[in-house]
Amino acid sequence: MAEEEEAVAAARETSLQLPVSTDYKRPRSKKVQELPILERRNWLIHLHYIQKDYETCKAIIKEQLQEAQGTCEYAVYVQALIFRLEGKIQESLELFQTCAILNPQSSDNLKQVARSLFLLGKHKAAIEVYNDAAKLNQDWEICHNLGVCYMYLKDFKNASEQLNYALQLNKHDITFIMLGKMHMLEGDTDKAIEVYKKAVEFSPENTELLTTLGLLYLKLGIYQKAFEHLGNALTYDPSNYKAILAAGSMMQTHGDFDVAMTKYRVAAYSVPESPPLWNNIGMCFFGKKKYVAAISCLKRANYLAPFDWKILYNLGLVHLTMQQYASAFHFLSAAINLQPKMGELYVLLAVALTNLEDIENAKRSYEQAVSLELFNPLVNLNYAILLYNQGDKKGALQQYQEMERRVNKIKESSNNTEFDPEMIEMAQKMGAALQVGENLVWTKPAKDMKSKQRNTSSSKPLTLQQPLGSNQALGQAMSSAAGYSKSIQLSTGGSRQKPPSLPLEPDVCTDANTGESSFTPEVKDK
Amino acid sequence: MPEVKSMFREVLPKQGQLCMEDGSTMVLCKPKLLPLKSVTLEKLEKMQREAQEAVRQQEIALKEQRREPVEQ
Amino acid sequence: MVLDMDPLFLAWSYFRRRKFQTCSELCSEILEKSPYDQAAWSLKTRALTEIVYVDEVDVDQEGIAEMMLDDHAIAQVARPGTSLKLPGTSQGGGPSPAVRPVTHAGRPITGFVRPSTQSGRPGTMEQAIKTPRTAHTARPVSSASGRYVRLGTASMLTSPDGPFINLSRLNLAKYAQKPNLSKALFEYIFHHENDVKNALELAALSTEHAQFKDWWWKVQLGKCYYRLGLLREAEKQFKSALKQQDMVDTFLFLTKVYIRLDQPLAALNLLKQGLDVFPREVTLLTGIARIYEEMNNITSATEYYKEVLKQDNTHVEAIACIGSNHFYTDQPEIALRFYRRLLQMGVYNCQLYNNLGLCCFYAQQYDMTLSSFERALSLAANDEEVADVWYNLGHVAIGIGDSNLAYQCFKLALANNNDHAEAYNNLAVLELRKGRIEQVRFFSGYLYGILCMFRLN
Repeated sequence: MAEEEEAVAAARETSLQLPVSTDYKRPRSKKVQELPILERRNWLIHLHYIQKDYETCKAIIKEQLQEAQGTCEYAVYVQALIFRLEGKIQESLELFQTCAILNPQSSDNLKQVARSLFLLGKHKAAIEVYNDAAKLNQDWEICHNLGVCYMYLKDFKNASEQLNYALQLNKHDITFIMLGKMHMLEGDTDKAIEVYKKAVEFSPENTELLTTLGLLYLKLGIYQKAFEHLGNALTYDPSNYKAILAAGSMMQTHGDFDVAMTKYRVAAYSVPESPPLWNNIGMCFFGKKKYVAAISCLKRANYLAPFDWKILYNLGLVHLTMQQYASAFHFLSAAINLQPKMGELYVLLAVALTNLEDIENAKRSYEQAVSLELFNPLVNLNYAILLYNQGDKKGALQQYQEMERRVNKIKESSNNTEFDPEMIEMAQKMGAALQVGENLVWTKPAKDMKSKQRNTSSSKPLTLQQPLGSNQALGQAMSSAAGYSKSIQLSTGGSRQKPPSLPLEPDVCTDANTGESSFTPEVKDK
Repeated sequence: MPEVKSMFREVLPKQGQLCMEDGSTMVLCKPKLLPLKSVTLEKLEKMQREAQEAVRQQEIALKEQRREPVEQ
Repeated sequence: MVLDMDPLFLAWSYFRRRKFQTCSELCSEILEKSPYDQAAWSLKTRALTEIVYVDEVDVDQEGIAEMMLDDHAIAQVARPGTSLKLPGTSQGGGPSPAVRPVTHAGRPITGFVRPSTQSGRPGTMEQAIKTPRTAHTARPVSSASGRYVRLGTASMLTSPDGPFINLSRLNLAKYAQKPNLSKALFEYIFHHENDVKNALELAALSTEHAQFKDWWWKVQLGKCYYRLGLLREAEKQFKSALKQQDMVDTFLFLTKVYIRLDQPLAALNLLKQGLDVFPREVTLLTGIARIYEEMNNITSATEYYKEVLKQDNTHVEAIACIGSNHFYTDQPEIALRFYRRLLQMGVYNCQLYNNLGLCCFYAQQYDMTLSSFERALSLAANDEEVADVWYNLGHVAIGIGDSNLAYQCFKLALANNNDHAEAYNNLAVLELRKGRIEQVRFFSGYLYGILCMFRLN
């Protein structure tokens, strides 16, 4: 359904260009002297059509068709275009078919018939008509649309053939985008990246291409390239919402909350009702330990997107941090209702239940977490803590050992692992209490342990919610990208002195907005 | 003898869930606060109800009056 | 010993105690005995008027015909911020429909309804006629045929022994000579008989008799002209009355004229002038706040509503509007305080409990949420209200992640009100989440139909 809608939308975009290009050829192609009486008002129809005065246009068409007994091709054609604009696709199709009967040698008429069929979701029929049109006159548009039709039929071989052929005829960004999308549908990210790379070479200033490529790199964990392309996109369009969201989340993962916030502020101005944006802004505040502001932003995100479990997860996390366990329970249980397969949600739920003194259900929740989340050692550590606090040393020890096993596995797969220092400290304490303290698995302290975990969880598909890779790689990416585009204020020192204010939330962020309220990012020289 | 000397607190993740991409979704209509009615409006509505009721009563009475002669 | 009291005095007493029906009956007895008792006649007139009296300032409903055949409009497309007809032209911090629901006219829903709050114009006559005449969208066809049916309900009823006053046989010129009778008679004709033409005639004769020196008659003339849609004449009369005597009511009536002419800025200016004469007058402040709210300028509206509360901290409209503004700007906790205040003041109805329920839920006061909604359901006066409460309960269900419950709630909303467009939309969204495309088509088909009917109305 969503795909279909997309197709329709994409098709509309191109279809809007068509009538203009075909229209003005028509009246001109007839020589003035030879104008038959029934064609004499074509110029007037055309004039009203391009002025978007559809009501008058329809009235003239009606008159003209009455005089010509329905045989005036141009009038029928424009009427069909108007029907299409009005969303009456079926009526439009019938009229274009009439045109094709009146003038069977016109490939334009056939293309319009095919497009109408495409808009109606009849891809096979559309392909047939496009092929007929191609016999009369092969062009880029036909190949491109054939490719798109094949794509929706999931015939990727033919689709890529047609789209590549279209690119040979004419390099249009839209064809690159379609080809890239098709490879993504196929599940071939590498090929998609190749296509987008070529596309970016061809039009290096197309921010949509740059952002899409950046996001693809981001999904593959190639952070330097991801940041480079996203940064590039922001150079050409500093308020590009998609690029800001992706780049901002990278900065945020790296701990650069102020810089991320500066970017988000730009985006919030143009897209004030974006749930992902408010989610990330909320988590920026969370990172800065401004919990009230964080909750306010997250609740707005939740109000706008009540089905997004990530926002509910964050709301749960923030409320747990603020020791508001009843509210945390509410948000977490809602999140679990929407996303029952996420182990970490059960950990947080268990923490809430523990503090609400429902130990039995807390244990059940941990069991669920342990069975769903197979890599994160935090699950076992927290479970061990509960069991230990309840006096079950044996069970605690078991969970502790499982935690150690998981930590070792993570360390085996990568050298520069960073764990949450609080977790290390707690694990050491637990080890001492359980009298296994000598066996410490970690040797050097580090900050972020969750970031590591992603690399090992290769069995899981790489989904968006997963945090970015090790901080070093990201840091490198950021600094190189920052050097690349000086104009977009990526300098991390730039806005640190003044924390950015949060748009639209003056009441809640008490100390964040001291005097500063403008949306324009500061340009600061180092 | 499992005697708990110290209680440990759980460790919470330091980073929540971030979004890198915004997919287009269908949007719900939002919850609706109901407007309170003004005194005038309530009186108008009450008067209208009463008037309609009275008209109905009159019509019923009229019908019955008409019917009576027929029955006789 | 009871009968010792003078019947006219007793009737007066009933009148003062607002027992108008009894008063009127007693007057009838007196009049039977002495048909030319002017005092009894006048008292009965006033009693009958009071029974159906509603504040004319607060009443305003445009008929479709007035709307479509509006020859006062100067420009088809008004500049942004100068008209009430353009929805979505927000001037300063108006919410978007993604956050705050809008009425069928595309304005943000308000915290308070008055008989005139249904304004907003349909795009074409066709649309206007297609609009269903259900209780919550009723818009009469024209003022002549039905606009004031609601107001003149008393005149619809035939009384068993003919009308109290037979207007066609009344010599208005004679009554216009007697100021002590004419004012009561005018109000009777205007409010009870709902006969604007005769009322106008009487007012015209009377103002002439008063040598155009009585501001009261000018205001009444203005009211008649206003009801007849002769807005420029109404404006003249009100302005002339204001020259003689500054009155709050006159300012308000003149404001109504400007609103009907779709000149909200002129209306605002006038109200602010009124405030110079009557500083901090609540009705004037409320008038300003209402206009700002209708212009989608929520920030200024809230400012003025707050000013109202400074003068009168039990002002229901101000409390309700400020409350709803807080709710839709992410502050349900503060909204809750305002609605609680209304509860303390003794407001007790479905709407209030529904709003309390929503505020409680979004302010994370879960213990109070369901009991509030239960109360709201039990207090609902009609199916539309029940539907709205179920609709909101659907949101609570979504909030706790229970899609099935939400589905049932929205279904119940539809069961009670088949036109509930929002419920159709949300059901379609729920179906889409389940991946049931056929049902989505079904609901969105319905939705499309409803939207066509409601467009701009």
